[in-house]
Amino acid sequence: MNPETEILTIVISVLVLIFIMSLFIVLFIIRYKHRQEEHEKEKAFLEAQKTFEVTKAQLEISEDIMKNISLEIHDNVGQLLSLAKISIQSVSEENYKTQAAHTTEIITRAIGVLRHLSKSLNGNFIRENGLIESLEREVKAINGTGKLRCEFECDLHEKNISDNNEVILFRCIQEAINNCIKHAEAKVLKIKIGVNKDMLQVSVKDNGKGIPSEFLDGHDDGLGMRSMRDRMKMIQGNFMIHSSQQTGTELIFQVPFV
Amino acid sequence: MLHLIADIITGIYIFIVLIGFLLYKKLDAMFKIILWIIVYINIHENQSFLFQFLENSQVAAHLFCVVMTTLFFLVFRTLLKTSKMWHYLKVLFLIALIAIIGNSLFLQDIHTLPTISINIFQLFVVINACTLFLHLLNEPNSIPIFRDAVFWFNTSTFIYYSTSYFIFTIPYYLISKHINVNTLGGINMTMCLIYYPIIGYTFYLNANRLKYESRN
Repeated sequence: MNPETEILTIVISVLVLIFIMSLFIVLFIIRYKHRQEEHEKEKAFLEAQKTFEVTKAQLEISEDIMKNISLEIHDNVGQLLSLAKISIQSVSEENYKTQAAHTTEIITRAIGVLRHLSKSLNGNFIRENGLIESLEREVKAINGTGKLRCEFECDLHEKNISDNNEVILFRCIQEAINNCIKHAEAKVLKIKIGVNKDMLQVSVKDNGKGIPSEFLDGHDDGLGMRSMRDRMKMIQGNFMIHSSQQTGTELIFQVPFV
Repeated sequence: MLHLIADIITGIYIFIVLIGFLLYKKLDAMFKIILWIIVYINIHENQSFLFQFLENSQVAAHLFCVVMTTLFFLVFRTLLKTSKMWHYLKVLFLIALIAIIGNSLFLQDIHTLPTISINIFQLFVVINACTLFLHLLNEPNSIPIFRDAVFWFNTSTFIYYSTSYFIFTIPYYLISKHINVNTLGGINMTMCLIYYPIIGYTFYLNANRLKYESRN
């Protein structure tokens, strides 16, 4: 092969190489556009799914709140007002002074329960007073019942979470406290607020009998575990459960800071 | 003719560097590194006066391979560090760097053109570009492909360095046969004339992409 032919062969080889690479790029563009469309569809689907889950969680939250109101009214206010009615019915000329004082006391207690119920259910109260103050109030109310000893520890400085997240987190803690009071047979309940890896962490720990495994694996939702998990998911938080018959139960909620 | 094309390419280098520095604040870290690569290439192309005290300026070519391999590694790092292949690419970078330094120390001394090192560097860039294509297919973004600075950078880099690898390898064979290699030099310069303006265009696209993102 003479030098000129050799050069020509090489030049043609280079051009063929460029042609092959250009073909490769064209194929890449076609495939990439296809993948981009798929990706957009996936994104839209996930977005729709997320909206659906948020709406579902919001409905469940409303349901839970209604259930709480109904239970509180039935178990507390209803009972007190029935007592007040009986007290009024048993008024006679001899005992009207004592009965009036007794009825006033019962009605005052009913008003107190309603006030507490109203404050704890009112999201604005939590927004205005903050998570810590609302929890302190809750702890005081639990200790006031004498059913168990509640300890509260807060190791949180300056960092904050959004108002809406604060309300949702507070509702979860309330749910955890209610579960403890109703089912755990615990003597001590510890609520601890702190920071864990750039997230606000709340631990609700009792020394009760632990949670049966069927509630833990999510098959049975009598304790509102799914609801708490959904709420945490809704605000991009984490929810963890550690439970055993020997050590009791610890629920951990983690919420991202603003 | 080749001298004229070489002067035009130098003019293009300077023009792109100016555009790059004008848009510097708006550029992503990756494109800032690319700008410094262009600056370095510009200095390298005109560095012979720096090495007048040595036998020849080939030491600059040895240095060029080490610096360019490292800079391209940093560029691809910004794009591929989330890729599954990234660990392999880190190992590949270490192997390439050791091979280039080993070549300068034991095979082609600093007074010889480091042909092996240049080939290793170009191959390293081509492998990274192919991996980036794969990564883009696995994780496409929402920017239209022809407005995506990363796509233009990767495509031009892939074609330029693949062709350069071929073009740089052949002349060593041709020179050994005493054949004139001006034609290949011409092809390489033509590739430069296409490659560098595209890099300038990626600066423009990237700067506007950031503006678009901040608007959203």
